[in-house]
Amino acid sequence: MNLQNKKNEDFIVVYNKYVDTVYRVCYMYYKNKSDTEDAVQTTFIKLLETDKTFNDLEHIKAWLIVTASNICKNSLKHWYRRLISLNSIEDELESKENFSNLLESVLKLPTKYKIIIYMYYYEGYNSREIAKLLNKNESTIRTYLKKGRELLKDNLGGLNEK
Amino acid sequence: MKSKKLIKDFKIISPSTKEKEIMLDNILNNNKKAIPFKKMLPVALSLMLIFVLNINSKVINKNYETASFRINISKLSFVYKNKCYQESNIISNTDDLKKVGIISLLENSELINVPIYKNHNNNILIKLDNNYITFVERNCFDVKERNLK
Repeated sequence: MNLQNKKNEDFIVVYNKYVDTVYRVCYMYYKNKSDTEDAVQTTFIKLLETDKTFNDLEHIKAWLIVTASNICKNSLKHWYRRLISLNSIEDELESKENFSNLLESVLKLPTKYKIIIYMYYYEGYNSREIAKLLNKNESTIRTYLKKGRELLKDNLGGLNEK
Repeated sequence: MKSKKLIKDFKIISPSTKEKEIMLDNILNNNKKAIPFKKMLPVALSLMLIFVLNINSKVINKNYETASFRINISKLSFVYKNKCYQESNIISNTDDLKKVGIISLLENSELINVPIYKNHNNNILIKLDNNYITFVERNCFDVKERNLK
């Protein structure tokens, strides 16, 4: 399956199927809507531009997750991202009202843990698949999952059972 | 961990139908002809600083449309003809640009006139020092408006 130079309909099907997934992956990194929307658009533009041949829809989904993660990670490396404005604090406070304690706790985790928790619990990937996608050792992924769960448990006061 | 609850909670994080439509429209309409965002960063930052410092911005030519500026976390936004446009690093077509307005900005203590352009994809571009910053239509009306008085 190659989306480059194909009719827009093919692309729109893929977009509608995976826009939520890409959006969530990017939100894990940015925790704000405007940066997330920008990264989502950049990810799908890259999909339009790539000449890669995909085996199936699952392959496209995996590619989108990896590409979105890379785009977000690269943009967060910039020095200006480290500046915190009053507006960002306001936005963060506003977002807290909309999310449950559990989701807030996940979003507060370091990125390396929360992205893996998202892929494991929501997308249903196992540790081997996540390791392959993120180009890491399987044991590293399992360690991150364990550490992420422990941090979540601590953040939530140890009330949640495994 | 309550994984079922977590799965349900994750579903909350998703764009609205309107936001999805706008993003799709932006993706399909944008080609690779504008200047990359990295090159525009100094310009974007200086513009951002101007707005953060609440420096007055106004339309100086009455023949053109008014653009009221807003500011979000790290993005400049403005409203033009009842549509909200937000600064974007996505690549925008700079062919067939039509000048739709001029705004007056303060840069390095000097008042400068900055043209606003629109391309055939309905993206808005601001020209500064012969470079363009792309603004794409976004559902950003919920962004708090800053009074730039």
